[in-house]
Amino acid sequence: MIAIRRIAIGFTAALLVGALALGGLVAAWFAGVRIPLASGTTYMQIQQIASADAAGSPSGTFFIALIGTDFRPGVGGHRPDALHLVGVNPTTNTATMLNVPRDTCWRGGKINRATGEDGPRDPANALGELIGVPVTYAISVDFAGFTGIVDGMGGVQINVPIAMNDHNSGAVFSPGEQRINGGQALALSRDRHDFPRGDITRSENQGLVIIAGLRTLQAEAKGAMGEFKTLATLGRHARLDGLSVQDAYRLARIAQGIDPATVRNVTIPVGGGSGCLGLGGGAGALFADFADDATLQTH
Amino acid sequence: MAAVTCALLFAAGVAACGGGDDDDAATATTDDTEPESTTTTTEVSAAVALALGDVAVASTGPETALDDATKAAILAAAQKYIDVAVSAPLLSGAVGEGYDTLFDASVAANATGADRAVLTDEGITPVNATPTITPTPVRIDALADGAGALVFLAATFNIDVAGVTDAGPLTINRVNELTFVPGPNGTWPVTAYRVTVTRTTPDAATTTTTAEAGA
Repeated sequence: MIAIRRIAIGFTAALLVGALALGGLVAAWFAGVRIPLASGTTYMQIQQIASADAAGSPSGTFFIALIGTDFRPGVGGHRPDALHLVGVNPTTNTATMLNVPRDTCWRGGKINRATGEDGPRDPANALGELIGVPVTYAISVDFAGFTGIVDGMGGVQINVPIAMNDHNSGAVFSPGEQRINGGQALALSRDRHDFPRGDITRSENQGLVIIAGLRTLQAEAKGAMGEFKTLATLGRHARLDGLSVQDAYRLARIAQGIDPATVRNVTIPVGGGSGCLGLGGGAGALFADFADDATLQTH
Repeated sequence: MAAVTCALLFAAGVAACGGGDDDDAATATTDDTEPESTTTTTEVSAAVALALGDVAVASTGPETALDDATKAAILAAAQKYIDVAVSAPLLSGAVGEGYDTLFDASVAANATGADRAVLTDEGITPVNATPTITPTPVRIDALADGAGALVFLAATFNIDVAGVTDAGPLTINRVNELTFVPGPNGTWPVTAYRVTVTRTTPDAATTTTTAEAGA
């Protein structure tokens, strides 16, 4: 049960992180506010982990790691069980998301071993090393914040791809367009038992939630007024590390310019292995295609 | 016989001057060397005075208010943009002085380059009579950081222009969102913008273009 909960936490966190990052919530997180939604804890952390040019002049391609950890009050945990790497190309107003299953092999073990005391920096760097790109920003979220954040957004509008009915995660969905609240988003992001490919499909579904978060935020944070309100609200529940509100706003503007319909949601190919999932055929070509301009031309 | 002279009047509140010798607002000048000949100069104005609308401050930290001086400064910055980018071209076809200085480095290249045709009415056929210019009140939204310091202020407003050129009627609708940041010496340069302009030119062609920059 604890393991399941940890997984859920991680997935939930990742979903939130992604939605926030892409949708401009990143900006809010960057705002530096550390006021918890209710309990006084910080639900999100955003780090600028590289001094890439993108940080100062976001006209260039940059990469954001979205990390979901399994931390939960009373239980602990710090494993990055949800891992996504988003490449953003401001020139073309496009973004591509690579979903990395938590059991993917990295340095001889599962990539979710990449933990540290310095927030999401270590797992973000692990993602960057695996895929071969420099990661400029890392955003992490834990279980405690996930539900509250989604609810704070007023839910997420998402097109659930297939029916889900999993008593472990509590995911019970009919396929189709629907508005889901924080608890439902958590359940959707936890569910791996409804799919033959388990965690791999779950990772892809997390990507769907992230994109849905972007779409929802764009719809509800229109113009400067909406953007400022969103940033301020979300900023009260985030902790910044190396970023300013100005940075956050500029990232939010970039996010607002990206059409969610064009965001690629790609789970990296992984295969068999003992103890961890090795990279599948074509992974190297995929990573190279992704790394050059954050856009997939041949995949 | 009346001669028409176009004058650039940017100051807010300048009265529009119609044609005709008996127009009280017209400026009449007399050539002293030819007292029997009177020349009447009819001033065509494209001046418009923006007015403050709603104001809201979103803060990631403590509650923050916008003082009157800052409101006035943002309104003045928006006014300056309209004066040089819209009003001036209506009269002369060219932007007014200082257009390039309205923007900070993050958007200057776009604002003076690729987006210039959207942000300004440069190149249009000038009006030959005072146009009707109707602005909406300028809404100001501000974002304050965790310490309560203002980091961004956005001015949002629309402007409708209806005028007549030598080639026929001209209408322009502008939807403006200008985001300012504190600059040196109390200035507020534009650091981001979203502007959409719809123009219906004398040939009845209507075009809508949008420019956005400042991420």
